[in-house]
Amino acid sequence: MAPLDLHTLLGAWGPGLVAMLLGVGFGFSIERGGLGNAKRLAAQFYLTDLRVLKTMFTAIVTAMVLILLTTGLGWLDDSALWINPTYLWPGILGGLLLGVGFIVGGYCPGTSLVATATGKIDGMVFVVGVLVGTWTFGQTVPTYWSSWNHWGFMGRLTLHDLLGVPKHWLVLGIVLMALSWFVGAELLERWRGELPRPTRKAWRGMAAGAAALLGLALLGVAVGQPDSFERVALHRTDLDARLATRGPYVSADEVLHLMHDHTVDLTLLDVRPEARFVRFHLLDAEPLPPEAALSRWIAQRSPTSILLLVGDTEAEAEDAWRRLAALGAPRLYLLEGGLDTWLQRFGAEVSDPRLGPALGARGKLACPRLHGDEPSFTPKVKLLAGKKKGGGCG
Amino acid sequence: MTRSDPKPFWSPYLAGALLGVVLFLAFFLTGSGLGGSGGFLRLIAWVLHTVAPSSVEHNAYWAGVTTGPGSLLNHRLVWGAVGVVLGGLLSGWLGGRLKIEVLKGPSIDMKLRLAAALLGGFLEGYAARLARGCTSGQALSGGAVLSAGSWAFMFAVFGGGYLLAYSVRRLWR
Repeated sequence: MAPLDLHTLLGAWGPGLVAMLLGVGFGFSIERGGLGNAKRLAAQFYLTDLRVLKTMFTAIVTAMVLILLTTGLGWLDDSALWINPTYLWPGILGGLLLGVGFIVGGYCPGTSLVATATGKIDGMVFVVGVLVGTWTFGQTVPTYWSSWNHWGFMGRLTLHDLLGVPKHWLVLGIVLMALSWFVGAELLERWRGELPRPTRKAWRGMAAGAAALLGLALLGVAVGQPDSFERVALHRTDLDARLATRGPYVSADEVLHLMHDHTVDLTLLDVRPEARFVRFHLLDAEPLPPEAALSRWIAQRSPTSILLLVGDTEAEAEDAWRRLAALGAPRLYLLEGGLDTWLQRFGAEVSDPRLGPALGARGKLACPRLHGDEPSFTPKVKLLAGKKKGGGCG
Repeated sequence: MTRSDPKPFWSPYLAGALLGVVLFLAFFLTGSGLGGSGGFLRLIAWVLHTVAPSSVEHNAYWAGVTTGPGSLLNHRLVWGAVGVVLGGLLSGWLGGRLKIEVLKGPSIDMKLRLAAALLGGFLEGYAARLARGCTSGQALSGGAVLSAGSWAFMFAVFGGGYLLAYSVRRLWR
């Protein structure tokens, strides 16, 4: 399944070669669309020639619909795609500043390379400016390093997870929005009257393109997107190989240490049915969200927190581990031996709390005390330095 | 080599559809989108690393860029930027649009145009790093995979441009 491992397929130069060919396609389309020309680019902001908007949004929705279809059919694994993490405020400030640079300088970094290639001296000067600006950023960002890294940081957040709507419906909505913008752009250009009117043939081409795009988006809605169970079926071999290393299994003693460590951002996720959850669960454990909410729940977690799955048995947690891993949840572990082992380790002398009255997280077995004389263990959980969070048990 | 009569640009919808297919192929083949400014970043980092290695070590940002895996220049973003130049050259040549010239509005002279280009480039070089990507790496690529931050960035770019457009209209009108 795509994306492909180009290094293995094509050798050491494979990724560079493919990146260059994609760059050729990128530069070619930009120049064809007239985006290597500062006057055409700036016209976007005087509403006389809206080709920036048209080219950009046609490209975005075309790629979006093709990605939707291929992930829906199980050809492309969207959990392996690089989705720009959201650093909201540096992104918005940088965007505003970039827009200012755009109207002053007439290009953006990519289009200035194309302008340079076609002999535009203003493009070459712009490139020099970009290089100096890049250098200046590197020299100054250490003075506001923490803000740049934390201000509005939300991790791998997508619009469909933010809005809580299925991805295919959102894509259909964005396609309709883009098409309405294109209609508005055509009307605006006619009103401004600086461009020749499109020919009858051009109108027919636009209508055919819009129909094709809408058709593909509707097909994407009909195909839908795989749920976590279908994703597990697609990735079964890889997921089982990761489990076979025993890397994700964390011993009861290590979990106890993590629960008592106030510097660790730990989320315990109880994968058992509600009836068993209310009878007994570990302190601060949350029940597993239902399938419809699962992807959104993962996206809205802090990307630095550790997620540890708890079942009565190891196998019960493994099933949930595969589903969450197939959805791309990072820093995912499970309790070795499940609660069966936990209760043997910390409560061998008392009766099983899961069989008595509903306790929830009351009782010492939900958060046994740490005596300091526990047997040593080899830590499995990779901790990130410098992250502080209150809470923890004990 | 330059033909006297340059061909008109394609319809932006057609160019956009081709760009969309290229963008999709980037995700399908490599798992990431396209980049524009990342190549500049790695070039600068390489120069700094070569001429002043100690300044790189003492700066958290440059240290982060230069300690990544692989070499600084043999990187997909650098190869991508080389490709963009070659692709632009190919299209411009086929369209008869290769011409040494300065593109500017009718009411300013060449000196002011070049000064504005330098300033605009400087602002964007800074802004693209602040936002962790430019119109290519954030708006196009992040937009296509529905990154929330990329959509916020994209509207901010248009917002910044429209906010200032009237004040600097002499540059273009």
